[in-house]
Amino acid sequence: MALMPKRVKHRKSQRGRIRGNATRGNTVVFGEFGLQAVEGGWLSAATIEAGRIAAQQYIRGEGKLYIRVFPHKSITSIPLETRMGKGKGEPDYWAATLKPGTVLYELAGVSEEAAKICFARLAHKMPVRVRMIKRT
Amino acid sequence: MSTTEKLNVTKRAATGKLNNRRLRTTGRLPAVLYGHKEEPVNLEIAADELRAVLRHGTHVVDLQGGAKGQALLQNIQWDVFQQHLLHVDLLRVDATERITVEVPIHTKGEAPGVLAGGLLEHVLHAIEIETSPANIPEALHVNINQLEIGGTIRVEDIIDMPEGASATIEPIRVVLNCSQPTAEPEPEEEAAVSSSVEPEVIGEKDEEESSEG
Repeated sequence: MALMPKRVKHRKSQRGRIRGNATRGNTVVFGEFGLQAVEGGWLSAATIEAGRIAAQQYIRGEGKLYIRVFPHKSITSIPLETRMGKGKGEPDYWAATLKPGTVLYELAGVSEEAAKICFARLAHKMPVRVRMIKRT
Repeated sequence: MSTTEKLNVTKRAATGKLNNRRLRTTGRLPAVLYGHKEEPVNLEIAADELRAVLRHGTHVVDLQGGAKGQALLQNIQWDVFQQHLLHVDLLRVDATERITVEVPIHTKGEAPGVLAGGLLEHVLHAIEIETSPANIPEALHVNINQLEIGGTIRVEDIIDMPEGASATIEPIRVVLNCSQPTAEPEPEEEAAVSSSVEPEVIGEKDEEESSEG
């Protein structure tokens, strides 16, 4: 099931601008290897889930996967063939806002080669450029 | 045991964001030296030299040039992608005092629990120890040759704690454990349906009630 907040203060949010680099959540904390975003963007809840499934199908219970991002932001859209105006659209999906440097996933309990292959599978699904990092 | 290395430093007069950025473009780094209730001193260091010191796993350096004495590499700042050094904090130390440093924990051997399909989980990747500057180890080790599924290794099981050093946390704290991996439930088809469900909006009920009343 895709991630989503349980309670929110407002149903809709403004788009905002992604400026600067990630100053928090930019290091490997739980595992030994991490997948770090190199550019900013939105990561939808469905994509986070797709990444989780892709990783877990590869590691198959051998290691542990940590998801380091959460989709806090609601993204709205207006239906097709609707005239412009009449206010903001309805929430369509939930997304996590990524700044360059944000760590998306972490892996523990697997070898470096396995982590590399696993993250390569994940990277294909990501809407932003990513790179693998190690615990420092 | 990590060795003490020499580090050439020069005093830095220009401070601030602009000057420090200019300094970094020349391959040098801003640094600060403080401690022992003396005045802090602004320094600059060659980035390559500091990188070499870090690569060798050194914690304590012998300062030469603009400042004298021994100093602990207290805090090292990297850029967001951990590729470029930005700044370093140096803490004045001497051989007689005790200091607190963070040291990584590594494993030794092969756990039978892992061979039986268990998952080795690091609860603590590093611990803080109190020791003298001359006795700082590069890493501490735990032996996992006896670790079965469901077993744990604690701080008290560290095999190479240097003489006179002690962990600042309780010895019963778990460092790593070996657990049976839990099978992940298969993703169901209802994901698409559930994504359309909206979360509860804080304060929405109160508004409805007040409008009715």
